[in-house]
Amino acid sequence: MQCGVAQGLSWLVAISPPPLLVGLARAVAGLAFVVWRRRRLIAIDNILRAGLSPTVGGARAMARTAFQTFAVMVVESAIMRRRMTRENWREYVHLDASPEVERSLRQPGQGLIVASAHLGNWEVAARAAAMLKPMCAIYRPFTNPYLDRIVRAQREGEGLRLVSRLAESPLRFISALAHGEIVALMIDQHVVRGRVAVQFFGRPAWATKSVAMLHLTTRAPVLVACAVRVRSLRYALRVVGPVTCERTGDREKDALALTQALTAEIEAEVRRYPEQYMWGHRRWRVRRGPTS
Amino acid sequence: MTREEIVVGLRDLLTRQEQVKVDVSSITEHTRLDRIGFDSISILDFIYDVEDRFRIQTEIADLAAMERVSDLIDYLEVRLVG
Repeated sequence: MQCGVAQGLSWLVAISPPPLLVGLARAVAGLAFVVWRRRRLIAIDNILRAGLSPTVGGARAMARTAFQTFAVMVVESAIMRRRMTRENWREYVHLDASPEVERSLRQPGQGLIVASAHLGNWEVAARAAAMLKPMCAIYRPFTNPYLDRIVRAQREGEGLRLVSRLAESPLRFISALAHGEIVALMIDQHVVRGRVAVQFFGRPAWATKSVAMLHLTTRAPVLVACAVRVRSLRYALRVVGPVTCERTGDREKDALALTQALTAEIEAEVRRYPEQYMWGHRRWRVRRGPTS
Repeated sequence: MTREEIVVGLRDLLTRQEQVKVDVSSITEHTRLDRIGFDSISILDFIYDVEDRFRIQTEIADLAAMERVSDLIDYLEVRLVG
């Protein structure tokens, strides 16, 4: 059934005009916000605890907008997959980066590590960056292997490959960097292994230390990138960095310091565009000490 | 540093890696790196510790070319002696 839904959505995107699809997405998201109580309450609670709204009513309104933004993101990702090419991507995505960052993105043979978050349209962010430099995006596969295969085929594109952190050889990502590719990873979700406890909106949250460890062992530059929605089918790919960290010889301390620096950049972006963040995820689940 | 000292040092580091599920005493020079129990992220902890223990800075291209434990030992032997 899941595969059928995925295929059906793909067909719907192929035959429907974008304004209709976006309107439909907003309507479905509005309904989901009402019906999906658990996610609604998580989102409202997260927004309140982040201090982004002083009132429950304000948090509720922001959460609803975030639900709708997510649905629009899903639809526009599917549309962009069909429309965006190496020749025309700049019509849809404006690169907002310093000259130094843009140079590193264009430099052949220079591997880069990119940390991102569930803000704006991360699918478009990956596709646009892959137009500049081949990208290996680390992702969490679906449990259903058939669905995973379908969705993965849809999400991959020109210069963009999706790789599960579990399915490949251990040196896979080092190899990608050695070949001058971007290795990209989302760092804003709760993880159970290979983690450090960072401060996110003033509260401790577990975050993957993968990006930090990749940088500490390879010394490849680390950037933070997010594509925020400007208007219908138009995005700004905001890229900051390189984010650096002094190596002290204490592995966990170094991983924490760099992951915290990256998380601070993510937080700054979320504060600028809070209605474009995926608030329905249970982000704050630290109960024990700072490392695990 | 001799090759034997390198092997002892690596064995000690492997013993300390939580993610290594196999019996470290069963790991030989011929063991493939992808058979030790590392995944693509946990191996980074090991590489960091190797750099720290042996006081070297590894190169991405050299790491990417490694397949077996012997490749890592050979690499360290050259870097530490040469």
